[in-house]
Amino acid sequence: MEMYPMYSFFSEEHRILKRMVRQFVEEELNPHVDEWEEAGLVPREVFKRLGELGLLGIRFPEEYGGAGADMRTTVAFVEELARCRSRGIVMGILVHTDMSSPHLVRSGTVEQQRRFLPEIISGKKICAIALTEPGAGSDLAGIGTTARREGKNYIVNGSKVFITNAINADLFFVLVKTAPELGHRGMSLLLIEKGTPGFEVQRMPKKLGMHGSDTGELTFADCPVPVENLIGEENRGFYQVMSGLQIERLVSSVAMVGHAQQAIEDAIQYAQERELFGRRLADFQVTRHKLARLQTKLEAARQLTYAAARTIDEGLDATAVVSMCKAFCADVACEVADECLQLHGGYGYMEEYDIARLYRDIRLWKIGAGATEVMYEVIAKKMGLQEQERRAPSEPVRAESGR
Amino acid sequence: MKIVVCLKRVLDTQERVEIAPDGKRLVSTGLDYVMNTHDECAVEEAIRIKEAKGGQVTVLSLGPSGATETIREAIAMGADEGLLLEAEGDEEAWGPKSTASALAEALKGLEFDLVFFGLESGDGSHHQVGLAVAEALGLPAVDGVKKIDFQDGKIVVRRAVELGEEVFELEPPAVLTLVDGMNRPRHPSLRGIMLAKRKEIKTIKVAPREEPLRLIQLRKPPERAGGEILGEGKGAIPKLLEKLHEAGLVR
Repeated sequence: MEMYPMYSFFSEEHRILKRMVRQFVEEELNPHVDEWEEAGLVPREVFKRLGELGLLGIRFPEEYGGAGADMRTTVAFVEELARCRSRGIVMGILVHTDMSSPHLVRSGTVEQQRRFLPEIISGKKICAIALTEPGAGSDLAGIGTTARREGKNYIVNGSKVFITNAINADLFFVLVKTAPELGHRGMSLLLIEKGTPGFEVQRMPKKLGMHGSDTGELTFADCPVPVENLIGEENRGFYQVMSGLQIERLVSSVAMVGHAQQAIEDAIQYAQERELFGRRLADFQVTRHKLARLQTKLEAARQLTYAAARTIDEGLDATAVVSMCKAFCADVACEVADECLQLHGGYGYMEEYDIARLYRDIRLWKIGAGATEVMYEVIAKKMGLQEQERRAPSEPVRAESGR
Repeated sequence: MKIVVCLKRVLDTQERVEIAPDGKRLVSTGLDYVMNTHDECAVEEAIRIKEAKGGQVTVLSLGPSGATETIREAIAMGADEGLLLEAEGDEEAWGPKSTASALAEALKGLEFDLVFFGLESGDGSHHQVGLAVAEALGLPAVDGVKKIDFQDGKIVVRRAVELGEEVFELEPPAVLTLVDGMNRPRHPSLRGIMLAKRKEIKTIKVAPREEPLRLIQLRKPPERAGGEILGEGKGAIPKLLEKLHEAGLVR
């Protein structure tokens, strides 16, 4: 599977898993991706099939059908899943496995886990997470969706946008304000089921890329959500969501690396077949150096994903390394996509080759799962570079005596 | 029904494989080994028989210590036990004869009704080991089996031959070599992979016996000349016929 020999981040079981996932993607996903891209969503059966193979509960408890495995196993899975020729489908699957349902394992009660996890792990129920709103994305504390306690229910009002799996999902993890006056200290995470009165989903059909993924808008109008669907503690939702973001960012980074690796492999093949000026494209030194440089950067990006996964497996605070990983992988993957498209010349601009779709799809990742700018803010903060309050213009500037 | 499946790990043919400088081995630029394709079908067939009739599937492989990965893959698919014959000595010393003799020796210590092999390996392609093991154990063998049925306590196996098939009836114990394509091997599930991870693979070190067969030199096939375009559409037919006559392919 590797292009060149290198120490293995993976153990025996991971390599067996990788071969299995690679075959599954080649045999059961890739032959259908054009159809699914056209339809704008993946059939629910795909989730059931992933469930049969045990791929929807990799790190989840075995008592509910999970595999109880580590982050490295997830990395092995995602690297190979990313060879799916529809990056939108990959995103939909990862939203289910790593961006939404882990909240139930991390913060849910035993009762909640017993109720929902078996169907999530078997793929009978599909999950989504709803944080972003028309007026608040990176600025999560600024969301306006509220949940007011009324007897045995929360009454939810507000709307969410850019929600992946919106059409397919049965279970939505929704960030709401239970105490709006407390800002980010007054937010909670609710599990809202499809079909709850007052909850509507509308498709957001036109996107630059990720056409295989069903993106939608959610609206809640006096939507009653049973109190027992509160995930974690009331008013701790912001912190729960923040801690979950590390895994979301890592898996998206691993996916980007997988996508970019495939783009490079495709470009190598193209460069060895395409002739111009009587020679193969690969016979031009500029082509070889370009691909070698991209592969070198991509290897660095990949190693950063391994470092981040290791940090998480060792139970350390992975915020800094994950943020670096997310920002760097998105940069490298977009660069790879751009350069590989260029290498294809005019054909790269046509739908005939996968690179056109990949180029559109990959661009999302500088925005989704935490914009690159937000990543840099997090990293800077970890470096001790915090923004200070702006001084009033009249105030004299005092000499600072260091920190 | 107790079945032992003998399998081999081979270099992934999707990798770029080249001939080593000594001209006697293949080397891969990557490091990935996979289960030989014919053997994968043999594992699948054994598991299907176990699922239908009960019994046990044991996987036996001769190879380096890293071959436990391939054995575990078979266990992840549904095999029960694994045994590795860890090959000592030079790779060159392990030809078909010495491999068959080590496997036969190990099989004497195992209980079985049937022994399955894949038809041949994807790397050496000698197509000898299965039959040599049968010979060493004094057991009946059918080579190139494409279907196995059970009727009134008998095992009915079919093998493809030109223009038809041969049908054999046999009683265990017997050795069968199975062909790729007789079934579609399942994907191991992650649950199976995690179970296989915890499974201890028994390992026995084996030294090569004398190997009468020596590999002298591997060579790449000569570069093929580019094709010739004779024309387009119907107009090309006369010229094509002429060429086919010249080559003696039509009369």
